[in-house]
Amino acid sequence: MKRVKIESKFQATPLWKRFFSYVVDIFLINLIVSIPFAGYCESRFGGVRDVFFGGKSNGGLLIVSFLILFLILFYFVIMEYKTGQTIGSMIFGIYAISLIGKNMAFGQAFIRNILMPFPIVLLIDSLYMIFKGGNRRLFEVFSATAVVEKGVVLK
Amino acid sequence: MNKWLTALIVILVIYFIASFFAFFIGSRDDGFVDRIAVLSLEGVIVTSGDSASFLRGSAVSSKDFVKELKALDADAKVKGIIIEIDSPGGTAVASNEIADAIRNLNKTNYAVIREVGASGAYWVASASDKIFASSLSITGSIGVIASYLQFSELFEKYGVEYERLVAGDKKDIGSPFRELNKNERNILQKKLDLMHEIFIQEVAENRGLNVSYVKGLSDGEFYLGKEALDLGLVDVLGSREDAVEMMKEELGMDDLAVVEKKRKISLTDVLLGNMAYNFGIGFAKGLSEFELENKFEIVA
Repeated sequence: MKRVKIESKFQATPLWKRFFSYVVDIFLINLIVSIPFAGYCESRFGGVRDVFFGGKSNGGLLIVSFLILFLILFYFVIMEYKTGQTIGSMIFGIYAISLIGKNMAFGQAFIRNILMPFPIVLLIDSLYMIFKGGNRRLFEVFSATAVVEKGVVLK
Repeated sequence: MNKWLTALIVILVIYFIASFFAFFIGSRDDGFVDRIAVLSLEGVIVTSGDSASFLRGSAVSSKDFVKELKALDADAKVKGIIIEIDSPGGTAVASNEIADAIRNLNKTNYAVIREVGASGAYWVASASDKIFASSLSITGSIGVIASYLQFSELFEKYGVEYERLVAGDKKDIGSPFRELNKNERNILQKKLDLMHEIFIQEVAENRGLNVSYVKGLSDGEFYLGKEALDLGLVDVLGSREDAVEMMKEELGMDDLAVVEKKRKISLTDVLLGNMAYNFGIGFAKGLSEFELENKFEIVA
């Protein structure tokens, strides 16, 4: 009988998987952060919608907005630093890896995710992939990281 | 550690951080935005005790309410106060306490009468700068009532006798176990008349009306909002939203948030409400408390 050797193979992730993974993550995190703030925002600003889409400008709104941005960043950085994956990427089977060491350093996770709370800026960051023809965002280049998916090779 | 477990922990940490900050920011009295505070006055007005019990229904303690009013008055971010009333009245002292507290507010304050704002609740409303009511709201009812069930004949029928032991002949005036005599009836009536007079004077003063004019409206009749407007007992036919808009206009501040102050009801309020109260004040009191306490309750 012929013996088969199984090896993991990392390959570039299709853009659609990265996009939908991000959509899942951002939806989930906004949902979780919104629940505790819903009552507060309803009474002070006319609803949590104003926090995300702009409403009356005031100090409280600014603080709540910053806190939400921080929590979104916290989610992406901690998840990728600890596991190399977010919930969205677990669903789509993709991984964030370091190109300069075995494990991703906290600093790398922080730099590559710093634009995650800002979808419009993230879009500009992502344009780098299209113009450069590679599979890495500009901040992934800065952080020496990449997103890959794991395949299986039979030898 | 399992990746999904890590994800769960991260999610929980985020949720708790968000909850903590939402609570912290939300519970700060000075808040962040200038606002109009809406304070609800719902149910029977009483001096103290539980503000709400599950069986007894809604009640508001003047002690708690006055405390809330003072806190709002001291809050620099609160620019105006709207008292949203849905109450049939309550005890005279409790109503007067709240009315006094409203009169002493240093901020613009309106009363909005919803379904009912009658008797003691109208007394409270009259102390505010402006009264709003729906054209169908029940208001007015400027009068005082003090009635109770009297069981002497029932007891007599069943051979139960009232042993009267008093030091001070009028100590058990209003006892449900014996009939009032003519003199006692006159005494009680005088007290009611005096309270009625105070009630009328307060309303007249609060509303800037002539005492004799208010006296003419004070036979206890209730008025619908529309009638009350014509009689000068309310100022505007409108809702809470109308009151908010008018207050913003009066204050010259368009960008005011509206914050509703909800009365906090604890689990013990619901579970451990005053049971005796639930089964009829007069009856329960009459059976459980004998000569040491007067059974007479006066309600405005």
